[in-house]
Formats: sequence, C-alpha cells, structure tokens
Amino acid sequence: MLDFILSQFLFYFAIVLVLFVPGYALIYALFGKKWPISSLEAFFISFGLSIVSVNFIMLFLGKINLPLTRWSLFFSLLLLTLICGAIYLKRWKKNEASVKLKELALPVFSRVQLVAVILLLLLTFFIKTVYLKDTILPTSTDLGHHMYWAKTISVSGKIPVYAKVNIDMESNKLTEPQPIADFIIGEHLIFSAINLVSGIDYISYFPSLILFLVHLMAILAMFSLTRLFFKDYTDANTIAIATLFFIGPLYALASPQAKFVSGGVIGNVFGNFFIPLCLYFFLRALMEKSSLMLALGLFVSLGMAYTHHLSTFIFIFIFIFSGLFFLIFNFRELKKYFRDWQKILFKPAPLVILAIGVIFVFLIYTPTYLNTKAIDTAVGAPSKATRAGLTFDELSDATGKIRMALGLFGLALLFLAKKYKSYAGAFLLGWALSLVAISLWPNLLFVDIPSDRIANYIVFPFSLLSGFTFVYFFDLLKDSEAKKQYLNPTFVLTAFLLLFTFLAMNGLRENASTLNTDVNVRATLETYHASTFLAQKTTTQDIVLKDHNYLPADSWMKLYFMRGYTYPLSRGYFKRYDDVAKMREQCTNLMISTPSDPIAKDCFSKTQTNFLMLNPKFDSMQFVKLKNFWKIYSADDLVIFYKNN
Amino acid sequence: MQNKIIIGVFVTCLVLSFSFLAYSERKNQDIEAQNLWFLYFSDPKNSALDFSVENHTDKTEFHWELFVDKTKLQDGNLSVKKGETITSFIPEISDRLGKKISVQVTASDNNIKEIDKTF
Repeated sequence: MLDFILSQFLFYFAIVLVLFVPGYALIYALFGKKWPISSLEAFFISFGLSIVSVNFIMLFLGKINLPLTRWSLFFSLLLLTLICGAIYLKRWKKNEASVKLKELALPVFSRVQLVAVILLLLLTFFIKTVYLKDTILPTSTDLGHHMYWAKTISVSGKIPVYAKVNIDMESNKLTEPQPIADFIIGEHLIFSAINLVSGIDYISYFPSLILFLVHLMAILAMFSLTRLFFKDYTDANTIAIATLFFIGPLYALASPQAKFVSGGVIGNVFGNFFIPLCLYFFLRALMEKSSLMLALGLFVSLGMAYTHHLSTFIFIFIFIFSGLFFLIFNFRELKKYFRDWQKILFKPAPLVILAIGVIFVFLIYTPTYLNTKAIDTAVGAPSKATRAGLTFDELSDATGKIRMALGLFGLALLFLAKKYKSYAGAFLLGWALSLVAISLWPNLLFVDIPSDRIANYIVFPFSLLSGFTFVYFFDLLKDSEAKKQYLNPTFVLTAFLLLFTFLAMNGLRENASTLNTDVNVRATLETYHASTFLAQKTTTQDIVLKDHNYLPADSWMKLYFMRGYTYPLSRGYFKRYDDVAKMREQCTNLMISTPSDPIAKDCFSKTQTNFLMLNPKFDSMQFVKLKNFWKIYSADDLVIFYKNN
Repeated sequence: MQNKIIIGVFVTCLVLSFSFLAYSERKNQDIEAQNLWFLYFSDPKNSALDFSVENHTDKTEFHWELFVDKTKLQDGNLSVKKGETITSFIPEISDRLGKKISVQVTASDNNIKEIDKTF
C-alpha cells in the first residue's frame, strides 16, 4: 500500500511538473501580473502550452545529444521556469503592462448556472470513471504500440528512429529496419516525460490516465471556447453549460470520447484538445487584434503538427473553410480586414514563433509524416472504399443522430442570429461544415484518409452547435425585453422538459450501450507473465512469434522485450492476409496455422523463429504431433512452444 | 472566484477519479487475486527436464507425473505456497531418443497443465 501511495504522489508530482508548470511559467512571462485570460482559461491553456513546450525541449535535448533522463528533463524545465520568472520579475519591477489585452468581459455565472456546471462536471467524471474502471488495465493494442516508442525514449535517452523490421514477401527473410511514417514524436514524448519524472512503469494505469486528462482538458477547452464564441450573446453561459451537457455526460463514452481514451487513440485525443485550443487563440487574436494571441495560436498549432498529422490536416481544412466563409460574408470590407491581419501577423511575436517552427522542422526534427510517400497517401483521389466518404446516415450515427439534427439546425440558427458575419460565426461554420464536407465528399477535396476517422472530429463542433440550438431555440420563444413568452409558458416548459428528457435518454442510452466492456483480466495477466518469462529466458538471437487474434494485451509484449517494434513477430487479424488491395507477407500466419506446411517451414528457417506464444484453445493441436515443437510453458489461456531445430 | 470554484471541483474530481482508477488497476494487476498458476520448464532451450510450478492460488498441493511417450515413469507431490515457485529436478532419462517426455501437473482442483519435450 505504501508503494501505491508513493507512486501516486510521484504521479501527481510529474503531472504538475510536466503538464502545468511550464505552461503557467509561460503565461506569467507573457502576460505579467494582469492576465487577459480567466483562471479557468489559464488552467487548460497552461496544460496545452506545457505539452508543446516539453515536446520542444525534449526534441532540442535530443538534437544536442544530451541524454533524456529524469535530471536533464528536470533541469531543463527548471531553466525554462527560471527564465520565465526572470522575465516576469523584470516586467513587474518596471511595472510594465506586458500586454494591452484585457480579460474578456464574459457574463458571470448565476448561482444556478454555477451549480449546473458543477453537477455536469461531477456527472461527467462519474460516467467516464465507471467506464474506464474496466478498461484501465493496459490491454489496448494502439496504446501498447505507442508505449513501446515512449519506453524506447525513456530507456535509450534518445529521440527514437521510427523504423521496423518486416518479413520480406519474396525471400521470407527479416528485412533491415525500415522507416515508419505512422508514428509522430509528439504522441510519445509526454508519456516519456511523465515516466522519467515519476518512474512509474509503462505497463500500469499512467498512460490511460494521461490520455484521460487530455480528454478532460478538451472538455474544459470546449466549455470556454463556447463562452468565447457567444460572448456577445446574453445567454453565453447557458449555451456553454448546454454544450458541456452534450459533450460531458451525454455520449460520454462513444468515440472519440472515453472509448478513444481506453483504446489508446493518442493522436485523436490530443488533436481534439489542440483544435479547440488553437481556435480559442486564433479567435481571440482576430477579435482583439492581438499578435500575442496569434503567436500562441501558432505555437500550439506547431505543437499539434508535431503530435498528430490527421488533426493538423483537419485543422488546416477548418482554417481554410472558416477563412472562406469570413471572406464571403464580409466581402465589402475585405481591405479593412486585410490591413488588420497584416498588423497582427507582422509583429515580432508571431514572426518569432514562425521562425522557431521553420528552425525546428528543418534543423531540429522533421516530423516523420513529412515525406512525399506519406503526403501522397493522404492527398489525392480516395484509394479505398473506406476513404470514399460516408453516407449521411453513417455520419449521423458517428455524430449521434440527435446531436447531428440539433447541430444542423444550429447552423441554420447561426444565420438567424446574424452570427455568420463575425469571426466566431465563420469559425463555427468552417469547423462544422469542413468536417461534414470531408466526411461526405472527400473526393471533391482530394482527401484520401479513412472517412470514419474524420467523422470522429465532428462530435465536438456539433456538440457546441447542439448546445447553441437548445438554448437559442427557447430564447426565440420569448420576448426578452418584455420578459414574457410568446407562447403559453406551461406549453414552453413542457416542451423544454420533453426535449431535455429525450436528449438525456438518448445520450445516456448511448453510454449504456458502450459500457459493456469485456476485459479478461486473468488472460491479460497470463500474457504479462508469459512475456516476463520469455524475456528472461531468451536472447536477441531468439525470435518470438505471438498471436494477435486470441491473446489479449499482446501489443504490450514488446515492452517486456524492448528488442524492436516488431519483436515479437505477430500473426495479425486473419482478414489482413486475404486483403487483395494490399498484399502482405504470409509467414506469420502460416507459421502458426499450418506449421508443417513447406512454406511455413521455409518461414521458420528464414526468419529464425523459435518461440511461439499462443492460445491453447485455438492453436495448439497443430503443434502437438510435431516432434520439433516443445511445449515449454503452460497457463490456462496461453502456451509457449519452442522449436528446437 | 467562480472560475476558481470550477477549477477546484475539477481538480478534486480528477484526483478522486485518478486515484480510484489507479487503485483499480493495481488491484487488477495483483496476480495473487486471480487464482492463476503456471507450469514451465526451468530451462526451455536445452534437454533438461527440470520444471517449475509457480502458484498464485489458494490451493497449495500439486501432483506431478512424468511420462515417456504415454508410459508413466515417475510421479510425486509438490507443496507450493501462494506466491512461491518450486522447481522439481528431474534426473537424466536414458534411452529417450525419439520419445516425447511430458510433465503433467494436477492442482488439487483437478486443473491439469502439461508441458513436454521430444528428443
């Protein structure tokens, strides 16, 4: 128990040191004593700035060949904090107003509103925690893959080279390590930093909890962004609360929410935090003509580009669509706006960030996806049926039908509310409609990315629009000045309660359907145990093959060995071996399914595979009669065979 | 002040939720609570037949049998406390070429596990 308490203490210490201190230090340095942001905004902004800063610090340390260790990281963060502190003190002494910005005059919450926010937060935490309780044991395939790279950073003290050994389709031999474009450094550095500072093992609660934290911060960011979007509207707080309702407790578990946290979909979870944060900064930059906010927006965008390519790609589309909407609706005043934009862009702060971005991309670390092959894969005519766009029904299912309907209605109401001409309106339209367009008609926009992955991003803007619809619709029914309803108040109240109940039932039913998670704890512990056993009994000369179909948590095995991303070799899902669109090696399948087959024998010989980890209930009989396979380890749901010649 | 209240509630919920989830995960990772036991050769790659029983169940009595092909050669009992691993040392078996030598271990609840080597 004492161990647990100590590890918890170290975990929270690492979270504060890595994920809040650098961001708050930057906020103090940039804004001095009088912040133009509220304490709530500072809370999630510091989190975002910290992630980006820590990523860049670690990349820089890696570039100058300083080992990434607990102490190098600790002193780097200390140095950053001291520098920021010195800037703050200098300004404080001179009593210099660091920025001309003022905190936005957002309406204060009434007591009822404050209670509503607190209750919604409690409910959000409760529902997501109940769901994650059954999935917190590290089993998720994606998270296992990602944590291998994070652990590589911790173990080697270096920025990893993303490469993997494959089996050559023609010779059946293992290839030299070949570059992988699928992984992006920002998905791993933060986890390494937390591990380095806290010392907590990767095969534990910590990776999922960090993802959960990012997700929760995204919800807070959405809440604040909604208030910013509707700041001129008297019911801004109510809309923000309604948005919190749609994004917090309702549909709390389905993709891209808690399900992505438990599934280890790191890039999307980070992207769904960075996108609202970037929009927040850019919106404030434009609304208040602030080059500092623009610089912060660029800084966070750069951080997003180092974390997730798809989110960055989506954000570029959001930005283009928003810009187009703004240009169309403000065509007559374009000259004035261009002058404004020039004034905020050609200032030291944004130019310095752009220069830092260029230096990082070209001199410090180029993101792995910035190569012609990866760009060709994402841009162009859809290459597969899964990339050819969703039907409207499929998109509605991904968004939640009610949320989709309310969101579309909200888009129409934006025009009724005369909100479309403002920056906020343009961003809202651009955010929602760009995602609808890419999801439904990717061919028109030359996007070649799985359409369902894009559709996952639509949940956030449509939750916001749903919140707006819900509040604005009932606002339309009353005469605010005369403080009376156009319709019979009893009828309005009944309609409100009915709609509220319907929405709540729909969202909560969705939660209930996602709650049934089936994690086999015993089988997972057997996987961990067998991996520990083999890691001790084998050397780098031995080659292990495991099965992905019937063994839980198998992607975490590689963290026990740390002998390469594709060590142990893996038999993937069966359908992959029959995919005519993409021919794959057959060895990993044949060596398990038909080990006495001549091709399988050739595979064993060429790959030097001599250990197999399998589920005996599905893959044991084919080895029992073969004399050269010894069953050397036995658990209820896992056996290990050794090929002795 | 209102924002600080929201942050306060958020941080409190966060700590409670994280601590609960971390505790749940630790509990899940506790192999002693999962009623598992394992059988394996102490040296999987060479011809030695010494085997280990690693016990994480409440049942402590195990019976083992050594077969050469299907003929029982030896048997014995092992008492393995919860959390312990006991290794049984099997002497060299003569005339084993071409034969399958298997070790079968039965727990007191009749859960049987078997490992083998063929020479």
